[in-house]
Amino acid sequence: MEKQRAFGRRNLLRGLGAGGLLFAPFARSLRAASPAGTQPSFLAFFTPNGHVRAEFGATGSGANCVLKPSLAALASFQSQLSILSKIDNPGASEKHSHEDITRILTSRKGSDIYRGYGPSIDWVVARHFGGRPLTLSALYDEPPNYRTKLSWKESGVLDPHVDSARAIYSELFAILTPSQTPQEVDHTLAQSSSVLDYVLEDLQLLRGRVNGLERVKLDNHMDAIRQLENKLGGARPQNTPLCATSELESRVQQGLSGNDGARLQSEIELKLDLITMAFACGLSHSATLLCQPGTAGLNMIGGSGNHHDISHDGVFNLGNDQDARAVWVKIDRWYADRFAYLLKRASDLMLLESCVIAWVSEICESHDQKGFVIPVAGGSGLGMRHGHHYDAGDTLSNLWVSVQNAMGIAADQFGEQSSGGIPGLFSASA
Amino acid sequence: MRHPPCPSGGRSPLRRLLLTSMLALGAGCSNVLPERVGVADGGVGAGSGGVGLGGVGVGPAASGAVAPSASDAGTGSSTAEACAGASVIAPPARIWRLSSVQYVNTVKELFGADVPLEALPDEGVSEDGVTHFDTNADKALVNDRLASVYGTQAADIAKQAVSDVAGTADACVLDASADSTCVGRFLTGLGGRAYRRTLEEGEVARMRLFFEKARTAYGPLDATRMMIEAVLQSPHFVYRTELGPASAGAGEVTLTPHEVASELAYFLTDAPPDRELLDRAAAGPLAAATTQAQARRLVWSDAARAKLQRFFSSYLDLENAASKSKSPALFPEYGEQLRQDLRTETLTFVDKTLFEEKLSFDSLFSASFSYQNQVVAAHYGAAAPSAAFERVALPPGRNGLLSHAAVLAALSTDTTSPVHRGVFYLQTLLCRTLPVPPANAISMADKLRDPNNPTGTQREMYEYFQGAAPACAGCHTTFQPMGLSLENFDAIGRYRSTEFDKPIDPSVVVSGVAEDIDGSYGDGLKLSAAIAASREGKQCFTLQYATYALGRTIDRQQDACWLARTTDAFQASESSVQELLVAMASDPSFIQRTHE
Repeated sequence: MEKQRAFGRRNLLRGLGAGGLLFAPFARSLRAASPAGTQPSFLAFFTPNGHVRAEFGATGSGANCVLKPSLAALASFQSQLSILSKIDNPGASEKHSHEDITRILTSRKGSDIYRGYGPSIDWVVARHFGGRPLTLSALYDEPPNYRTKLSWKESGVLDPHVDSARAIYSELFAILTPSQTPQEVDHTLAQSSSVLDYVLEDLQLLRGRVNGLERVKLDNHMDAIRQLENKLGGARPQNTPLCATSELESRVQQGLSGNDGARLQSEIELKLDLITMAFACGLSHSATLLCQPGTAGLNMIGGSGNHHDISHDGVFNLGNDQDARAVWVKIDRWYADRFAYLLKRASDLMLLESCVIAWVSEICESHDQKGFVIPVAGGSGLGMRHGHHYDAGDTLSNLWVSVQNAMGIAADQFGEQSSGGIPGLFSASA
Repeated sequence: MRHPPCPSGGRSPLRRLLLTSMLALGAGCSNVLPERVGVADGGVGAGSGGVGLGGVGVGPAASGAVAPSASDAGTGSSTAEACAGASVIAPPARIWRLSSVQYVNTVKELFGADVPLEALPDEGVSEDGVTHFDTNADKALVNDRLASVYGTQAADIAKQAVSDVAGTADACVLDASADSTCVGRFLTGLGGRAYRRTLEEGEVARMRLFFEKARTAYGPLDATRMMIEAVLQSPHFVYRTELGPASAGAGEVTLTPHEVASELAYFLTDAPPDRELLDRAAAGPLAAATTQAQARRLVWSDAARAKLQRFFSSYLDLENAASKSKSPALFPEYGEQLRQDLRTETLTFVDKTLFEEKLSFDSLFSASFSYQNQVVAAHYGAAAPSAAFERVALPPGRNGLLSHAAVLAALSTDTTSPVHRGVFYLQTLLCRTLPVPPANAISMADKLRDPNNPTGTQREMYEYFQGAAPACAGCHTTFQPMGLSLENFDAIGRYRSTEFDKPIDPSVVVSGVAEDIDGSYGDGLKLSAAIAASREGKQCFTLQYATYALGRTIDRQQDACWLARTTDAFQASESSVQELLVAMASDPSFIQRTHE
């Protein structure tokens, strides 16, 4: 069993100043009295280039469904899993291409295809709990570009994903050490608050000397400082037996190595472990993992070439290359194995009943945003109803309404053309 | 697959243009070289000619020429002579957040702190259709993530700095009974160094109030640490100002001496002003000759060499080349070490050619030598003396940067990409923009390959594409032939004379570009050398570096005379890159700003 380490508030700040509080426990948790592992959380697991729907999803309707071969790895979780088919994105652009990654978690239209309109669902959930989402990526060798624009703090404000496991670990967990007294914690909180107050005053004074865009720069900066200040007043973290990070720390320190395929698997699993441990430690309520691995896309299954190119050869308007489709199916199964890893990890950390997990992509086989197949897992303790194939057709916006409701957000709208959620997927009385 | 209909990703804007530029550029293009960006010389380009295929007898485009755009009309004949007497146009006043590199260099200089670059978030790349750098001042914001990093780093640095204070003349401040003089000396010294200027009275008073309250509440050690933390997160540290005196109202202002010192230092070295510059600034406004002399001193520094390497790495997209692997089945030898070594070759070549051999910009595109180790030389099919990077003669068929494997690999996917390479000529070397492709470009994807010719060469595919998608050809003819002129180099930069056993014809005819560029070229290397030697090529390089180092888009109308002046200086200095930078720093606009 992992060595358990309890931690205190003081250590969130020791040696890190207020900056270490970015992912500190959020204030105003609706279930602050509950152990961290039962507090609602949401995770969007993103993989690129869509799926071969003939093999990915479920057959049969409702509770009489059978997972298709590409999702065989999820069979043991079927009671905690739903498959949503024929899901269209009403926020899709005219272009219907990979740039629509900006619309997947926002479901809103707009003229600029590289811009997200409105906050993405991970930000909406995070704000409900008084914080910000964990936005991690597994990019391998893909640099940040238009295909990594998944999370949006608000309309036009991208939240770039963090690719460094070390940076995320440091922000979240580097402060876990034996407990300090509450008085010492308050002492350090007050010092950090004073420092930030001084910085805010400097910003305000400088703001008086500039106009236009220069003021906007300083306004952004002041908002950022205020967010850090808000964390100083946040609730204290819940100690749980499952919040244990020594093994995770070792893996982060060791770094990633190996060939393309093994390395990518290690990278994705490490990032998923960081997220699930953050949930288990009560340090976050919302996260996205953006998998966009560039050239490793096929190397991981021992092939050559690029996942994107294969998906085009296989179906996307260039032909119907059966060999390419077979490779594409292999990729779907490889990612299904990672999703199964995630579900097992969440289950081991006793999170699965309170964590809603959605597996999304930015495009469908018809090279547009129509007819998505979306596995949704977890959250049965919050009212999510699983073990079903929801294939009547619906919108991505309605999926995000259902997620909102599961998180305790009493809203029946999200993005474009929403109408109260996917019928049957969430029930408040459950 | 040679031409995926969707881009294969990557930071380079070439890839974003590949998104649709290779597919259907439609009505926005018609065999006419796209408009220049920021070029002062008039009368060339718009409305005439195009780039044709060499060896095929295709000359300038015969049809579909468009009238010069309204934005071309204003440039007319605004050469340096025409600009003589014209007033200097001052850029807008601004504040500019330190970049990640500048932050790391600054805390190192001030506190000896070693902050790893990867501790700071990636900067966003700003693209304007011609340049693609992550140094735009308007995009340099502080969000919650960066503010958190600043806080974390400030805390670590402050903790160490308090220990360091103990051994200095300011050690008295760590004593609970430190007097006002001691505290004042510590605060003015700390603030002055961190903010890179002399503090105003009101600032010192605020710092003193903060410090003394903290000392009363927590003691002198914590108060000292908190003060350092606050200073390191203050906007006066995090941003560099280009505002002029605090009393300045609307209209033009001259930057303060300390602002000039900071601007000079960060422009040339990405590091804070050194003691010599700060002392000169403290003595009063820098005379023009002094600014020029200081620029000339700094431009030959190690820090300036490092900055130029960072520029060339972005300019040539070398990070992309180093990080992106290719298909291991097709290129089993193209592993991470080779990719890194190839990048090192190009950066070492640029650095040593400019700073040790003291050769010109032109020579970067024509040199018959490079700096290689044995691994790189073997990749080129040659030998090198050692495991270290040493000067070697390039094998026959290679000259200059466009024959470097790292540069060529960055402009390829798992196959060569005449589109990527052609757009590189157009945008990076000639500063021409391409129009936005139409929304239905993606549907043209099936025109890219001839189903009856599965082993078609790149040139054969291009010819097929022209016939299958004539609406696309209008734009593709302006750059793709230039890209085809590099077909002797495969997707990882190895030389080849055939493709699918068919001889490669790398010749290209260029017309209607510029008088000193138009002509027939045996291959793309000769073309790139001619571009580098031309005024247009030098003007484009000036624009590229200015965009990178001045952190703003160069406006082709407003900055036309500035561009002419600096390009003239570049040419007059026998194309010395260092003298180009000195000319930029010596221009009156370097120290003038406008408050709106």
